[in-house]
Amino acid sequence: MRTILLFLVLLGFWLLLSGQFDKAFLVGSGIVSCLLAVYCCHRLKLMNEIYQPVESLPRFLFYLPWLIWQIILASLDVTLRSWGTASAIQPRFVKVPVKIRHPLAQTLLANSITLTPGTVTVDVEEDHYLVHALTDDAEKGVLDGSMEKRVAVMVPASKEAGPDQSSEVTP
Amino acid sequence: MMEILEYVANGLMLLGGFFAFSGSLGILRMPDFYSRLHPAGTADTLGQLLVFSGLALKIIVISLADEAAIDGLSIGKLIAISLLLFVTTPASTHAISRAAHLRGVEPWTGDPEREGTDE
Amino acid sequence: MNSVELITALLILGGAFLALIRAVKGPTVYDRVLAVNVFGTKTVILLALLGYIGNRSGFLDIAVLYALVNFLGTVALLRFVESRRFFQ
Repeated sequence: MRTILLFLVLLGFWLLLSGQFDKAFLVGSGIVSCLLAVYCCHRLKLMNEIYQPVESLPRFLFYLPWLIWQIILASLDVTLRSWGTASAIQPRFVKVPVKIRHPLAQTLLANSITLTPGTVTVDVEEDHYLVHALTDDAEKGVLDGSMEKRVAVMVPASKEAGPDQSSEVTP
Repeated sequence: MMEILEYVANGLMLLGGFFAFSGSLGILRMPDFYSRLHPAGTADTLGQLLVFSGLALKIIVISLADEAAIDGLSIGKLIAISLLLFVTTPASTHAISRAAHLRGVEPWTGDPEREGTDE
Repeated sequence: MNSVELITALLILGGAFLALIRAVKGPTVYDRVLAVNVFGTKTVILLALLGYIGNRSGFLDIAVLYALVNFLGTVALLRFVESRRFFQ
């Protein structure tokens, strides 16, 4: 299932970049190279729900508009501050406790914090993030944890226990 | 209808250019390293999103006006670039900030005299 | 009706110039890496715009490649700054 999906995505990307649809030899070579890439991914043990979170995709599509709206707010905020004077910012570091353990969800949450108004993720620790906040409001906004709830619903429940150690590549 | 869509596309592109410009202005004017991360991470992301959506809309509008076939390949490439930047810009911002934090770059706390020094 | 694209391209070029000033001024290495990264993002947007203005769709392929190389270049530069070596 995941193999077929990965193959289709790779083939779509190849077709997009090359723009070849009618020459049989070139399309055949593209299919062969996509198959080779899928085989390599199989050998690298990249075929599991951490690297291909198919189950989370529909909920992510609902999350995306909210994220884009947050980015618009953030850019307006940062634009006002870059045209204003230096006293418009009071930078500080904040430690934000994080309960999510799923690696992909952690990445997504860190990226989302970076993209929302006035905050940038500086360091990701085991159970908390180090976040740089520009203002007082931004600090309050990142500490109330509403974004973590939004990200947490996208993760499959069985994966909450801890990072999957069996997915580590052992030589 | 076509004129309205073309105006929308023009407005999106100009707005995107403005955001990209003010992001760079923020990088130039902010007082310390960690504050400079903010315009780099957000303003650039919105700027590229607006410029690329304006370009895609413009391609659609012009090919509809000429009654030619829509260049789906170019639009697909525009979306691919936009998604790529959407993912990599926050990631590289985070990589830089983490490296600087591990190396111990001091944050600015409001004292205008002290700035970070070169190593 | 090409003036809108030209104004946008000039705005982005001005932004790239400002980022370049920050890259020259520093003061830390990380400021320079950040400025170069922003410069690369601006380059990608400018390439797409130029491709549209000149009606050359091949520029978009270059833009895709440049977006990838920009990210990898930033990470490689950071690794070099960390360890002062290119290879382990």
